[in-house]
Amino acid sequence: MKILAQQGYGPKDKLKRGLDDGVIAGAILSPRYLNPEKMREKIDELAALGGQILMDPELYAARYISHPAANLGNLEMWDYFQMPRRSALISGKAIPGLIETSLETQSNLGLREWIAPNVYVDAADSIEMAISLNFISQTKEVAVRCGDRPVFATLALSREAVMDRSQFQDIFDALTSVETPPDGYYILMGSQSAQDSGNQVRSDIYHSQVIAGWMYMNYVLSINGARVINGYCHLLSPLLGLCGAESTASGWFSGLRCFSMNRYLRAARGGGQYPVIRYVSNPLLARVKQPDYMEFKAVHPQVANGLGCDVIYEEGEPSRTVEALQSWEALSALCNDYCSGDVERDLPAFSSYIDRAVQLWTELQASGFRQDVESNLERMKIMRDAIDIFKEWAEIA
Amino acid sequence: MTFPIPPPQGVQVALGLPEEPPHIGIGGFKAVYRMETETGPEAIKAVYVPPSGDEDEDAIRAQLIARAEREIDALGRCASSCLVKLGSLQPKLHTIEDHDYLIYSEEFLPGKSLTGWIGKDPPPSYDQLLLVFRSLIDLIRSLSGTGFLHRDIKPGNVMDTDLDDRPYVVLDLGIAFKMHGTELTRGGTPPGTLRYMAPELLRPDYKDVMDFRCDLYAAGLTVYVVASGCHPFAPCPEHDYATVYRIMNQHPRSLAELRPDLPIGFCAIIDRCMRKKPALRYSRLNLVEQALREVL
Repeated sequence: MKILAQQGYGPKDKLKRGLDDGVIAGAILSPRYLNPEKMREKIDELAALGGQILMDPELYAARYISHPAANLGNLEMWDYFQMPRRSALISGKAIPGLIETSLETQSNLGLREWIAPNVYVDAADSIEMAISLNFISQTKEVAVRCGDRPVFATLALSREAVMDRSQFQDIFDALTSVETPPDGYYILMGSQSAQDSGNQVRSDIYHSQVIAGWMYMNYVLSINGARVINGYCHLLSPLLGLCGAESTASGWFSGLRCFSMNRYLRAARGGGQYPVIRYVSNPLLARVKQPDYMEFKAVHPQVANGLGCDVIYEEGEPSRTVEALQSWEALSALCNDYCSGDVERDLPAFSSYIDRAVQLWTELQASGFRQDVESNLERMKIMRDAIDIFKEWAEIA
Repeated sequence: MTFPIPPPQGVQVALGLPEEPPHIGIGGFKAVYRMETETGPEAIKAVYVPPSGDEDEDAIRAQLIARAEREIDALGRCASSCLVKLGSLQPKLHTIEDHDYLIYSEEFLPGKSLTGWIGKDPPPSYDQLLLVFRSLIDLIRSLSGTGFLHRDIKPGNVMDTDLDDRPYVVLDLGIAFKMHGTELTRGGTPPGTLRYMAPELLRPDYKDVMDFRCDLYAAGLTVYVVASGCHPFAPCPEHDYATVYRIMNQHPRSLAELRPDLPIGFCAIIDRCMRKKPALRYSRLNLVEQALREVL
């Protein structure tokens, strides 16, 4: 299972260093943050380093084109970024053209694999769901016309769509019967939170049924021969990887670790603090503040990953770039250990890993650490519950 | 519902045969006779067509005729050697002893159905099971390629023929379903054999959700039953409600537990075909074939 960088604001040299250091296998670039010219430069730069380079066309954000609070960055500079009348989407007339212009753009940029555009689905029984299935069913045929590169269909769902269990599962019965399926899927799981704060969005996604549904998507699609890439998933990467994901992507800000459509709208109150530097501790299955990490480690050395970036944290608060590299390094190591491709073997192994994380948090609590312990224990429980729900849905004994 | 079985003599007269065709079987609204022809034996099928009368009777009559025509259409289109072939008699409506029958013929296949394999000692070998499964997959591929579903794959409809080139042949397309075709089944219950129905066929909206994967489910279940000697959802005669409950909710033991002598990869394929949710089965038949190659 590969870790990709989810590109967002302020990449600086993170992607290059991530590829150089081998902690990421590629990147999903964002046209919101790169205009066409910069995108080409970035693709050329990264392609020279090898790795899988993709561009998320982010067409789902086009629903906000006329929104007074739209925050679309460079997206409107891209020719393909347009939203036709809803009736043209419902009838399906506009769909091949939208896919084609987006794929041609990616082809002209020299990308060797493409992500096809799609709409965002708020509810499993919505018209958007039908439109989304229509996009997916036409993706491969259009891709063949555009030069036949491997193509990933976007499947962007809100958590609410996943929470509607029976409708959600029916969608996958339909999706797996598409006559000409795409080579793979690019899955986004969106928070419905009205607020775009990282904590709100994360707690919205960290729900056992939502995670189970996300795992189920990866499982169903991969056992049916599709390659699956997941955007914005961060610490959920191993859970998705052990269910068959080919890769997961994560970035350096909270908005790149969990997905929300609100990222395309200006926040009601602008500004905010720059987030503190954190350390991804695999044994704790959590991102902890750098000073906390040092304190934890003094009492329980096993909270450290024992990987290359650890030493930099011991020298004091590292740079934002190092934070990103450490995060990818940790996720890569975790996924290498627990995503073997045999879900029936990996599930119990990772469940045990979560149990050990719970044990470690409990020991930290007993050692006098209080902050974030309860919330992390709650998150561990959610992950354990998600595994149980997934097993039931996937009919795994 | 029973129906009047036409006497062999009546069939002989209606068809102008030189001798009475012996009655060899019955199923649904269909009586079966054996007929000798210059090219070999054939099975005459006489499908009972109820009389015209009130609205309901007319509807049943129209449905039975349509079903028979559909079966004949599917037989004609399906290229698989694993499906019984049409014979020399073209379908035609005949009246025998004041009752109407749609009569046509199929090739006559020697041998017995796979029901005889259930509980046999020793149980069928891996080679036999693999061949049965491959035959069923070939049939499902061919039928779905022409827009049909069989919908009644079960051990009783699979003939062990002893023919070298066609060792296992599937009979009885009487309830075949044409995808995107006109609706034939009245009411909310699909036709077929309950014990071999995929869970999605028990949903009220089954016509919207079913595809070749319901045949794949029945193929997996057929192999599972003949391999293990027991039916996971209907182990003994019981009320249909109990069977339905089990089909919808109970997960069968892995075939590998019941037949540890079989390759584990083969058992996993059969288990997967029997998953409750169609999405968890194989979405394309080439994935089944790929999985079978990996077992080998």
